[in-house]
Amino acid sequence: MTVIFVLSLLLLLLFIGVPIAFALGGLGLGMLIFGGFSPLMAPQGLYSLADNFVLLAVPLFLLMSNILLKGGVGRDLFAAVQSWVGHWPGGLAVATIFSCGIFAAISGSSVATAATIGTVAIPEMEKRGYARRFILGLLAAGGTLGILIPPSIPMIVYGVIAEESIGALFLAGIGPGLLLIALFVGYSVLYAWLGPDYTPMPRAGWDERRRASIRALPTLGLAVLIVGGLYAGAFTPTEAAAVGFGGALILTSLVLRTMTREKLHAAVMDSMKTTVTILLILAGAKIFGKAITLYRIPQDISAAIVATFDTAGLFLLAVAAVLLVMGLVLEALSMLLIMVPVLYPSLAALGIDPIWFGVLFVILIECALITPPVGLNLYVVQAVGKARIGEVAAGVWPFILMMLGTVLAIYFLPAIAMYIPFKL
Amino acid sequence: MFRLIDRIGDFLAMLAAWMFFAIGGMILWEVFFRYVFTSPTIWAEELARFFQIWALYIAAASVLRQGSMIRIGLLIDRLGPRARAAAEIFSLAVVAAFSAVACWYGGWIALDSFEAGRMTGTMLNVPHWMTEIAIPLGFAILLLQALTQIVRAIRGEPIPGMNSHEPAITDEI
Repeated sequence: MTVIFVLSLLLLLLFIGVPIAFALGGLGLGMLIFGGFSPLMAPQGLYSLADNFVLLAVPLFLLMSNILLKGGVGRDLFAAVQSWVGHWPGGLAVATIFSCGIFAAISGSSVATAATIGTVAIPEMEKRGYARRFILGLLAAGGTLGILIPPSIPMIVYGVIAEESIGALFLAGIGPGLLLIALFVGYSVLYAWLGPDYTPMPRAGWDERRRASIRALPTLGLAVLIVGGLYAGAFTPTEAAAVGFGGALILTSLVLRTMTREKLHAAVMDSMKTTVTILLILAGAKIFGKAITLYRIPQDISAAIVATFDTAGLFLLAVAAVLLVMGLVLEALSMLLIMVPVLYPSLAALGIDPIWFGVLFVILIECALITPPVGLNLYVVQAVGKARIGEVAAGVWPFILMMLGTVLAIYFLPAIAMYIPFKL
Repeated sequence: MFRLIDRIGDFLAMLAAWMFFAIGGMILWEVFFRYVFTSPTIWAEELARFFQIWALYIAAASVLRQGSMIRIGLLIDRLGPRARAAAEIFSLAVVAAFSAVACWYGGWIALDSFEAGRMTGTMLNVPHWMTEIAIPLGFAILLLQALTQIVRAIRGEPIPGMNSHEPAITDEI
């Protein structure tokens, strides 16, 4: 009963338009006071949330990707990849997916990935006569790679709430990320072979390839350094982020020479704004999480889940269904912050590995956000591509099916995610 | 008066932005020293966390005013102007109420540490109130900013960024 009441209140606050951070924090604080607990827990929660070394990775990864973005790295990457694969059937689409995949290694967000590659790739593909709905669907899906291939802001958040190793989560995202790249590329090639006509690109000359690659190579090197350093255990995620931040500064100001004082200031301000919005939501969620734990809500839900679902498969199916519904109105972070504290206690009882679950959860969240009729990432792609929501929705279906297929594949073959962090 | 609050908020946000930048420098310094001289610093990690506490909470007011806080616009975007303003004022009131409580109790915690002379007991061993005070300060400015925005909304002045849920708001997530 309490659960339903609290959930309705939360939804009410969110729908009235209260910023998510304060809907969570305010409701949590109200519950503390109403339940006779000390309101001192609120400022204590705020303090301990920010007093966290692991979370420093959030501002630093954001700084890194914003500095690279302002330095025009997105365009360079796309140009380089295109010079190699542009002449394949569906070459531009393939180049788009590969670019998203590489950009994902320097950015922790699906929206930034879709937006950056989208602004370069959409006009090019339209010029070459690709169907609009295909282009838009491709980008909505390609963006997903941003949070699967490390670094990944949602995985940092998941790791912090669940108190799991963020390094392991990052590495566990690589396998599924590569699988999705392969599926998307395969689909693009097939689509181009069988589908409507488009103008193929001429094969780029070696000279052009060399020139484009040299410009993109340092960025690729930085991505390799970060992922490699995490993999080898040389850096913690926070240190990897700081190295990426330093690398991005050197790259854009000394190597590519595209950084100006104004651009740097803009990048620093953008990073601050995003960092503050994300960390405030985490702070609000911390207070909310504290309050619901004192009301024993996660424990009750966990008991109910264990009593209802006797297998991990059914449980995951239910989680997927709930996420799909939540994706209609909430964005990724809120879904994570509301669902994970509530579900986490059930994982051990059902014998589910929390790292494996984290990867599945992140893919399911992204599915939810691009599933029509309503999904917040659809709006983003729509805005970048200046399209109608219907067009995006029509193009995104094949990709959603591939993503759900990947979820199933990881479910039946956990090694896809778990091999790299634990076996290799 | 209102302008002054806006300006203080914006200044603090800019300060916060470069504090995050400085955090990058500290961690980088730490990594560098650990690998090159195999002698980790004692201050970098802790100072970086202190900077994060300060930067996060002093920047909140400006982020609120610019309407950059993530919220759900699905329903309020479809409301008429009057209902919309009412929803806006209610939202800001929630922010203000939360800030007031956080400021009050956060202030108590800092004051208590100050009087007891409590130290962090860490490598740097600085007085605890030096970081705890960031919360009452940050939320005091946020409270002022929220109240300012409420008055502006009542007067019918446009409040920046509060008019729709633009996809740009979900940036970077």
